[in-house]
Amino acid sequence: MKVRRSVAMVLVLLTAVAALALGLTACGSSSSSGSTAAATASGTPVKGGTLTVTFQGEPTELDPAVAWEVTSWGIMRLCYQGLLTYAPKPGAAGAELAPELATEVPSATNGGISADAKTYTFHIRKGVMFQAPVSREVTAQDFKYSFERMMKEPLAPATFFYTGVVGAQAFMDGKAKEITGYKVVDDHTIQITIAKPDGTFLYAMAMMFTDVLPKEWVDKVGKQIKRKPLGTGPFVIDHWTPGQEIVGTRNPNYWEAGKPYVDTIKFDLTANPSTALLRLKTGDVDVLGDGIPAADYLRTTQDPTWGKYVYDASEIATFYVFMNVNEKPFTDAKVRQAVNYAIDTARLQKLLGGQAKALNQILPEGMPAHQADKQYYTYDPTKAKQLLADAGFPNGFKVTFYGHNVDPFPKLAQAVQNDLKAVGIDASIKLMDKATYWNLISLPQSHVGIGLTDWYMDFPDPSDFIGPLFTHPIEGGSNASFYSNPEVEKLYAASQSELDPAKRLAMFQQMQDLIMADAPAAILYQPVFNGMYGKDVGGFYYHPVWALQFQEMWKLDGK
Amino acid sequence: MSKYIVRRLLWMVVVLFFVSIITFLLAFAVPGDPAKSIAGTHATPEVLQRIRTELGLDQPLWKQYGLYLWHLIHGNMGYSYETQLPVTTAILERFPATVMIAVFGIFFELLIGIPVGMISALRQYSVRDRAFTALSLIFLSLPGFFLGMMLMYFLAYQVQIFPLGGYEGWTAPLYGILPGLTLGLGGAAWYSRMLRSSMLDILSADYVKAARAKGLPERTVVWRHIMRNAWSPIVTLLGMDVGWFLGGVLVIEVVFGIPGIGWQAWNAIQTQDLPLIMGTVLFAALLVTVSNFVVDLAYTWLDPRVKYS
Repeated sequence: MKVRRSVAMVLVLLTAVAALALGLTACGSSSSSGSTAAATASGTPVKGGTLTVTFQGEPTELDPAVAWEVTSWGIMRLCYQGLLTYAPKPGAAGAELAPELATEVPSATNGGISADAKTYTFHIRKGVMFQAPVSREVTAQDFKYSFERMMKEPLAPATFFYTGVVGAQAFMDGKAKEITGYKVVDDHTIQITIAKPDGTFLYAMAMMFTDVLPKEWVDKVGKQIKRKPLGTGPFVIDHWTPGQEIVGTRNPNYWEAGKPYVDTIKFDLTANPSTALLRLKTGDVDVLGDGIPAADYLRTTQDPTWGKYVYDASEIATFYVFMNVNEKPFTDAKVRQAVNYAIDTARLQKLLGGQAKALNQILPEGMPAHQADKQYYTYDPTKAKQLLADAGFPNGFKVTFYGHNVDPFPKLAQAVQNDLKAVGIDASIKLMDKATYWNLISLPQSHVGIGLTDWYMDFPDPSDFIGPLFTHPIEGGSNASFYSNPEVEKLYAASQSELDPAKRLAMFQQMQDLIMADAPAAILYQPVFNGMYGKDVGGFYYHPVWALQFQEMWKLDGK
Repeated sequence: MSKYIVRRLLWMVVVLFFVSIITFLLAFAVPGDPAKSIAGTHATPEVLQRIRTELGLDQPLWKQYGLYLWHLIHGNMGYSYETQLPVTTAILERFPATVMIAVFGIFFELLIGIPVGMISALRQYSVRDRAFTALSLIFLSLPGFFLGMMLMYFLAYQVQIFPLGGYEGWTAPLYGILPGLTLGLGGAAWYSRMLRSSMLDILSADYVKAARAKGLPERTVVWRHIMRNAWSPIVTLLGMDVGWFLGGVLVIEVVFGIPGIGWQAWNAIQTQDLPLIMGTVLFAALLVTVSNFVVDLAYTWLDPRVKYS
């Protein structure tokens, strides 16, 4: 009997816990306090408080020379800064270059760019201090050091943006002790010479890879620099507990008057996107770093309380189907055009809910040279069938359609498969992990005929899309269509040294016309970021280059 | 006995060696390129080549494996391709979170599974037995992610008793309860079914009848005669669970946002971070072999009839 009693006791205890929980469910209700209406980029900033941001998983590292992903950049912007940045505004206005630690953006009119367009002069802001414990003024020498450190770093992924600087290649190959084209004129002046004029050089200088960090700190922390960042930004990275959180606190040395607004920014790295949304609703979290999960999007936007805290912003990116022009039957432009006519992109965008908007050209909205009224192909299966018949495939053909296995690719692959089937193309889908996939489609020997890909902007210049995606096909490159058209190549080469912006843009529009007529790609859509912030957040917006600008947000209640 | 222990330990080394070879070959059988995932899709072929050289990826396979083994023998599991941090650090940083989930998971499995199993066996075919059978089936078939989300929704969002996922270290054990319960409810079903059947076998044994016949109190019969012999399958199951849980339970970690080694390994697979994959697989294999070994030793203590030589 006693046995029964002790076992029963355990059970009673468990039932009690369960009952307690259920009982509380019955009488429990959300008691969120009604705060004032949401403020976005407008409104008066309030000082003080803690901003909590969720991310699922942590950044690989916070080293500006190496990191090349939006999560790392979002966090690094707290603490690292460079010569140039972009205007702190949403939409197209945010694509405008602005000085950060330089006093102005070099231009021909202010004498920052020489007459031959090869020499750039940057004047550095005076009185900018590195964060504690380095706590000294930033000089031109620090910028040169940081630049050379990046070019020498074996894992730096973006050195190719800067090999145009005179002497850069020799330095990387170990044939020179310094980059001769990167000159320190005096403590607050830098002069950079490039081998030939380049309309995108200032954009490259605005990327985080060139951000400044002090040599003595790098020497001191060694490899740990990846986790112990130190720069000139508004927040000091106080600590990074791996897998758990990264916390930034106000930088008392910060140079920009009145900034930053909040005292602390806490990145919570342990939230899966669905629970992050629940945490935002309970008030524990202020900003969803990963945005709203696709499955919760519709419900959240239609919610009377929370709908107004949803923030949709077009990302400057293009999702498309590439067709390898060297692989049969995609060697025939008619077949490629047929695929363009066969895909019902409107239905596909609907399938993605709020994550997609219509795009019928290579250059997405927000990218210069994008033409709002342009529509190269419309959904027209009859025409697609006709083109296939003209190409000698009246009964269609069989093909393997490739993609990686991360959302939304599997969804897209199925939708495209359906549409192709309707015009007689029998596609079997093959999905794999990302690392395998990106490698596979970059190699001509993989003989991938057709598949999915996407491209996100590095900087707001159309060369960033047209160049890597549709010119100069090389093994291991990004031109998955292995497309090359002599006319496009010629225009592209000419555009590189064309200094008149209007002429340059016209050239890119012409290139886009040529490429779309050849149809090495079928454009699917432009992705949309579905952001969300809490009731107490001010200053929230989505920047076209930097994405979420945590360091510029504030708390309405200052807590 | 000591001979047996030495032999088992040697076998463990052999097992780990083969695990390392298989993992290494499997990772290489995948036609990806870690350099591509480090540099991103925008990098040029020159940059990729430089990264491959830096990481030694351009060396022949046997050389890469040899070097890996050489370092391993010296206690160095190498550096993660992605973060460039030592693999040992990466695993040990994430391990406490995994241990926390494992401890809570096993605690709830036993807390629920053993009493339920005992009641079911001692009151076979009673209403409670049938109810427990039905519940066991339900919890066995509920996927962990669903159960986890439900528990979180009701016990952390609707009623805010527990945190909505996350992990704040061992000083905040509250974060371990819901993940532990999710693991425990599913696992308890196994334990209760196992215990029920092993107890039922024993209940009809002659020595139990004898014990009862000589008038021993029921408590003594159950604990000294029945349970003593019913423990073995439970211990086996426990040994397997310890190894399995400590290797990282991915689904639970992702649902609850627990930064454990399972989640880390999953990321490593996505980015083809070979040293980190190798490290985690070896670490998990070590845990499984060690816990099996401990279980085997435990048998000799539980059941004096078991002897190893």
